[in-house]
Amino acid sequence: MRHILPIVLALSVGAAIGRGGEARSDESSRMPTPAPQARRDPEPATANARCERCHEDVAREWRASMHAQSDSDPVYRRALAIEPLPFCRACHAPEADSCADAPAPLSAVGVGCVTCHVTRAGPDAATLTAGASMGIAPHSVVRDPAFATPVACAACHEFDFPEGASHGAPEQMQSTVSEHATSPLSGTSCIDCHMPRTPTPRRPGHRSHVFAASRDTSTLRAAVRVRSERLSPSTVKLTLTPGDVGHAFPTGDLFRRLVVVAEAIGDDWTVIGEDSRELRRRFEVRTMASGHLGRHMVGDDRVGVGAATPVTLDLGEQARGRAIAWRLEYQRVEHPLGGDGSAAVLAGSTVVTQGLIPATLENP
Amino acid sequence: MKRLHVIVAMFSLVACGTARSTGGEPPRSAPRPLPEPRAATAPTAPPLTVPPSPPEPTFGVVVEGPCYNLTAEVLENATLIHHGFVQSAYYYLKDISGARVPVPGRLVFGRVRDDGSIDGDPALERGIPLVSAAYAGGGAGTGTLDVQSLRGHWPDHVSLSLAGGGFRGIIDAFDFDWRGDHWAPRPPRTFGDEDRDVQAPWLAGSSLTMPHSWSPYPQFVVVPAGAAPTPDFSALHVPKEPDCTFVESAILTRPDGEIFLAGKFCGIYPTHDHPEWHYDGSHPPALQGESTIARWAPGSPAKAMTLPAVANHAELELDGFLEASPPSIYAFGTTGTSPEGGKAPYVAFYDGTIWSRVEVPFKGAVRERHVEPDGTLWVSNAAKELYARAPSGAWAKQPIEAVTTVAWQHDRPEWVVAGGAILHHGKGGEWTAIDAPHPAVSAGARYAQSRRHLEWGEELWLGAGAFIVRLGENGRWTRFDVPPPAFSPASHFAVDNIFFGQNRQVWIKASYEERRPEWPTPDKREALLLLGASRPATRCDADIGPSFSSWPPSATAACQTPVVILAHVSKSAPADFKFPQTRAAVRGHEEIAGAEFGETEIDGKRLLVARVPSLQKGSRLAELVSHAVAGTHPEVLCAEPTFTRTVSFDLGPPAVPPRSPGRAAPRP
Repeated sequence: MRHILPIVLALSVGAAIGRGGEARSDESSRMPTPAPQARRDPEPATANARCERCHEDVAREWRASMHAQSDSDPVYRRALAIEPLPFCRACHAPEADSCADAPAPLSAVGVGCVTCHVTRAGPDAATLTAGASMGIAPHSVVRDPAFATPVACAACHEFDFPEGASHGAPEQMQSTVSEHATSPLSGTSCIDCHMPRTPTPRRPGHRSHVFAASRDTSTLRAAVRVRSERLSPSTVKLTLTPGDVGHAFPTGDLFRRLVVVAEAIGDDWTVIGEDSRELRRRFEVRTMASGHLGRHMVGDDRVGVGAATPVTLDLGEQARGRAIAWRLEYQRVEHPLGGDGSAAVLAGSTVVTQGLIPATLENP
Repeated sequence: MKRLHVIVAMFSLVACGTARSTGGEPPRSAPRPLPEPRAATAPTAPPLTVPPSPPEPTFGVVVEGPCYNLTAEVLENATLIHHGFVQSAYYYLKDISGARVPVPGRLVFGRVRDDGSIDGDPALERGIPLVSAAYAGGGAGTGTLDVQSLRGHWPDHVSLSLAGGGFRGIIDAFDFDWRGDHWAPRPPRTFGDEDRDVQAPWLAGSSLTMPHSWSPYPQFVVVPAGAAPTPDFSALHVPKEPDCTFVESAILTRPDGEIFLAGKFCGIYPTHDHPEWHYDGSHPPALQGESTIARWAPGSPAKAMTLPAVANHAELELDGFLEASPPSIYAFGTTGTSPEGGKAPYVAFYDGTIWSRVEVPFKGAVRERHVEPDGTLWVSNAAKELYARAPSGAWAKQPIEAVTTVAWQHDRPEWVVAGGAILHHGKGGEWTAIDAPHPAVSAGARYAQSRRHLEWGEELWLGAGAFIVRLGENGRWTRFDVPPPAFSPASHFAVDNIFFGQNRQVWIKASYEERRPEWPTPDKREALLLLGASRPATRCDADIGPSFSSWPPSATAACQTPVVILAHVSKSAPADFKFPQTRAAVRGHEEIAGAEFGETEIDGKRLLVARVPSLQKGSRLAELVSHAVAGTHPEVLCAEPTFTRTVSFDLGPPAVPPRSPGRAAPRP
């Protein structure tokens, strides 16, 4: 999952041998932020390559992450073609000018090492870390504990819809940090789940930079628990409760949703009756106080918003006497269409969990 | 039998026309009543003319399928086709279950070659944005952008305009020029609120538009700005609470600057104001007034005019003006409900001073209306009748029934398709049935004519159902059958329109319905047919690039890759599921030899399918499985699915176990 991830190379940097020691404390306010801020490095692709050379093992993890593919991911590219907004590019290609498509070298950097760790342009640029510096790095290092908190992720994982931001009626497009703050796991940081410690002999405090999230099936399956019961010959109730997840599930952008599916099974596993429900945020386009149109959230039935999410599905009379198969799918979709984002072409689906209610268990 | 009766009646009309032509001209507005049909009078009709050899060319399908707004644009030297739109989703498709499938919209272009095939150069899409710049600039922009115009000389001077209404309440318009391998955008037209769908010609070559701003009174904008005075209707502003909105229905502008505007005016009939619409509870209900006509002339404030009273003014709907010789104007609309159902017609006449009600002798709402220079008013109505109203005020019902198509010439009906026949309206007012090739034209006919003004001796084309007819310059009628849809054998075309291309090309825009076994309702399909086209038809989503179709077409005998969709399989089924009941259903059926079974996925659905050597074998396989496996509705499509895994089914005879002594053979 590329959007809910902490952006912390800090610990590995902290373990490195530095030249300049820790920099001034006033650097500490420079958390990662997308363009169009002033370029932190005049040649970010070159600078990023320098990072990769010395921190090869970390870079290998990063290259496998969605952060590295933030501007090249095909689904994002298709969405950007539909809606070529600087607003989108600012986080997906933060090292490039957001007013134009990123040149290939900067597109390849995506959300790179320099995006999160380089604090400013110029000779006094420092590398941001949350941990202690050993003072032997060939660059200056600034330490800020806040870099290990959700504050570091907020710039790209918590923001308003563009029209709301500009017309004074904000509605959040992404709200992962807020969701985290109200979750039972608010006491933990983003990195505790998404950058787990993966110690190596050389780096005992190393945290993974793969940023495993929704692309990782085990992480996905741990996020929700489902209880099923057949209410009648034709209806089934599935109750979803949060598992090991510190925010709504799914969280992040509008390109993902949970779908609860139930199927009445005929001969040879043929689907003879089907019902499903999408769990996601729902928006309406309304006139705001300023007179402009903007989105207004009118529904949110994602897991983790409230104690439990009950879903009742009706498969029709053909389900009588038949087994019912159910499953929970995590779907990634193409650019959502329509005013409320309800319609979208499926880009990928992962079965989170599934079950079968035998015909013999149906209620009278 | 009934049709034959009508045709005979038309022959009778011919006799009337012949007699009249030798006996002087009766008044046009008072045609003779239709005589009792008598077959004996028929021989006076012009002889049936059947085109001799050489054989006429036939119509061929150029493109068909799940297109949206399929159009052939006739340029100066080429024909480009296009379909689709951008900036929004396309919801017209159904998947196998009948559910609507959202597909991102796009514009698809193709250039028609001389043989009727399509050159679907992908470059023709290059440079077209998927969304408008306004959307990209932060608006919601969920409206569609369609082709507004495509014109010029291929390939050196071709211009394209896209236009559409955005969700933000304004119209976006984008212009492009063809640059050989892409469309190059022109500087954006600065349309704003002034560019609305209400438009009328105005003084000094300008036009009037009306901002769609939920205004309580009519407000106009002159385009281009400042080219002419802006009409001022502010005198008609009547503050209302809750808000009241003016609703425009018709406008007539005159060269001297006089404007007649029909619509629902706030406060004009305040006792009848009523809520117009609600917007999901977040807005207060708005009001609209009732119908009337307002007049504005330069130098004087706008005034609401008094219309003749009707029984229930709240039911009055005005829908158009017709300008007669100055200062006369007709206004048309409906009011209430006629005793026979439907809206009752309303016609008013303005003599330059007051409006007066024109009583009409018919029940159906007025459809087409024309007025001749001598003041004769012609109207067709919803009851499929044709009436003339003489300057004296006398109405005359024309002796023809079931009028479906009228070809007008100088504001006078010249050719009429009525009652399953084609009739010519003579200069003397006589109606002459034309003995067109049988079967005669039926309801829903469309016509095209080869020149702007139709006169005898030019080509006239009339189409309906599965054929069209042509009246050639030699005065002969020729029938052209329309072929069935290439990709949907269970349906047939309806001719929607006929038009001409370069070099005497004749095009048909047609439609049909595609049906599928699991679809509760059929889907509409569009097609373009060209006279003389000989190449195989192109589906909207084939050859000219992927487009809107998400589900393969039904297989026909010509299909080289028939495939049977056997079952929609639950994704919860084991990945290596053996399909025992399907396996048993096909066992021993060597007549479907050559079938290859496997799983595939279409539209996110897991499917058990079989590639088959022929449509016949596919149909047989579908029959076997539908009878043996409950809940399946197999269908044969034309597609080349990629198997996600193969499934081996033995089509050989069931193995017969050796008999054991003393035991009976197992039951089948």
